Amino acid sequence: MAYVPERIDGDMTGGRRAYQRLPGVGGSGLWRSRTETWLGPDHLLLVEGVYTERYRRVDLADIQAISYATTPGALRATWALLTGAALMFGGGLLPIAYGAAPGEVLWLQAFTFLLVVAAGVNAARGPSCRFLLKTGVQTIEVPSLRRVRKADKVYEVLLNRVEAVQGAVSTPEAPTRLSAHFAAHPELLRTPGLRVSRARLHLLAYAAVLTSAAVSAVDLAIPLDMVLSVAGMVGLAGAVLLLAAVAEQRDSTVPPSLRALTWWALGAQAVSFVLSVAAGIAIVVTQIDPGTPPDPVMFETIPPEYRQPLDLLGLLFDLPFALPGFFMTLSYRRKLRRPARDAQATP
Amino acid sequence: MPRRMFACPNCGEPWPADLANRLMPGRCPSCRAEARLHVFPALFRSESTGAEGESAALDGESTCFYHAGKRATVICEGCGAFMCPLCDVELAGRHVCPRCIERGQVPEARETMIPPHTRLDQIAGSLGLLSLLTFFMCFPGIILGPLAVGFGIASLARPRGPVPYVRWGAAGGIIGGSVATLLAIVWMLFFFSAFTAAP
Repeated sequence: MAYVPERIDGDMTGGRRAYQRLPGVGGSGLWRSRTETWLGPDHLLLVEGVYTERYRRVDLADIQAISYATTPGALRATWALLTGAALMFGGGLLPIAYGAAPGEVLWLQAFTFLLVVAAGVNAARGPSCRFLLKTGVQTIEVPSLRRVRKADKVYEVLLNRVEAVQGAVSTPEAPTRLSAHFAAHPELLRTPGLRVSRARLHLLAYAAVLTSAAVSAVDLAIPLDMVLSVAGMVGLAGAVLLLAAVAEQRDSTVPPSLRALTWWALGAQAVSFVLSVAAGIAIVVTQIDPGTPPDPVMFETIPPEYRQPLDLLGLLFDLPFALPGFFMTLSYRRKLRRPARDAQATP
Repeated sequence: MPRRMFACPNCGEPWPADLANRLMPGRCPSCRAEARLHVFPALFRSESTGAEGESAALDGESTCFYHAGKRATVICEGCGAFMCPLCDVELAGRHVCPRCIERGQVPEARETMIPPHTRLDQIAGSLGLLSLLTFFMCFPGIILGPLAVGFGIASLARPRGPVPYVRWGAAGGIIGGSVATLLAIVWMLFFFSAFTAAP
C-alpha cells in the first residue's frame, strides 16, 4: 500500500526540539527497515527507514491500549547460536583426530568464539517480545521494541503520558469495563483474516533442496567435480529460499505443520552447511596437502573417497525434510485451488 | 501471528479481561508468556463513524471513481474525480480524494504533512565506507569517494527532518570519501609508475 503521510500541526522546528527519543532501534522480520520511536508533546512518532525516513504519527489521545507479550525468539536464537558454536568446536577438533597438530587448526576456534560471544550478547539483552499499540483504526506493532527490557521502559513512559492526556482506567474497573466492551464489540475477539499465501517460495525451496539431494546422490554414483559444485550451488539456493519462505509464512494461511517443518529444514541446512565446511576443512588440512592453509573452496580437489561422506551428509540433512515438505506444500496448494474450482462449478 | 490487540501476540489466543491494567505483568493463560495489557479511556469512547456511500439508484447516475457501485456526491478539487462520501476528505475547507493527498497535489495538505525525508548524511556515510573498502580497485574509489564527500556537504546544507539527529554519516562521508579518493589516487600513481618503470 502506498504511504500516506500523517498530519502534523505546528511548525517543524518547534516539534523537533520537543521530541524525545524512546529506547529501542530495530527492524521487524528479516528484510524490513530500521525503526525508531520518538515521543512528541502530544503524539508518538514512528520513524521507519535508513536512507529515506517515513513517519507515522499516533496522537496520544487516540491510543486505546498498549500491550506486549514475551516471545521465544531470543531464547531460540541463543540456543541456535550455542548449537552452532558446539558444532564449530567439534568441527575444529576434527583435523586433530586426523593427525593435525592442535596449533595448526587453532584459528578454526575463532568462529566458535564469535558464536559464543554472539550467544552471550543475545542472552544478555534479555527475553524478546512483541509490542502492540491500538488506536481506533489500527493495531500497530512497534518493531523497535523487541526486547522486554526496552518494552518495559517504553510501556511505563507511554502509560504516564497517555494517562496524563486521557485520564486513567483504574485497575479494579478495567476488567469490568473491558468485559462489557467485548460484549458490545464481539468482533474484537474474532480472529482476523490471515494473508492467503500460495506457498510458492516453499515449493521452490523444497524443490531446490530435493534437487540438491538428487545431485548429491548422482555424485555418490559418478563422482565429478562439476556435479558436486552444482549440488552445492543448488543447496545454497535452497537454503536462501527456505529463509525467504520462513519470512513469508508469517501471519499467513500456511498450515502450522508446514511452517514448523520449514523451520526445521532451515535448521538442518545450517547444520549441514557447518558440518560440511568443518569436515571439508578437516580433510583438506590433513589429507590433501598438509601444511598449506586450509581453504573451504577447495572441495573440488577432494578425492572421491573423502567426498562420499560429504555427499551422504547432504542427503541425510536434505531428504528427511525436503521430501515431506515438498509433498505437504503440494497438498496445501491443491487444497487452496479446490474451493476456487468448487466456486466455478457452482452456477 | 496476526496483529490482534486483545489476543496474545505470542500464541494468538484471546486474553482474559482481568489481565488489563495490572500493576505487575501477568501471564497468558494459553502459552504462559509474560504479558501486559493496559487500556485507556479512548477505548470506551463512542466512535464516530464515517459517512457511508449510497448505492447508485439509477443507471444514469454518476458513480464514485473509486467505488463503482456508489453514488457520487462531490467532485475532488484536486483532480476532478467524482467521489462518494466515503472517499471525500475535507482538508482546509477543500474536498479532495485520498489519492490527491498521497500524490502531494493539495498545497494545503503539503503544508500540514510530514513528507518522507531523505537522509543524505546516511547515504554519504555508506558511500564513504564503501569507497574506503574499494579504494584499491582505483576506479570505484575515484568515483565513490568524491560522491561521498558531495553527499556529506549537501547533507550539511540541508535542513534536518522532524526528529533531531547528529550528522555522523556526513562527517564519515566527507572524511572517508576524502581519504578513499586520496588513497585511490596514490594507488593509481603507484600502478602507473610501476608499469612505466617496467623494462
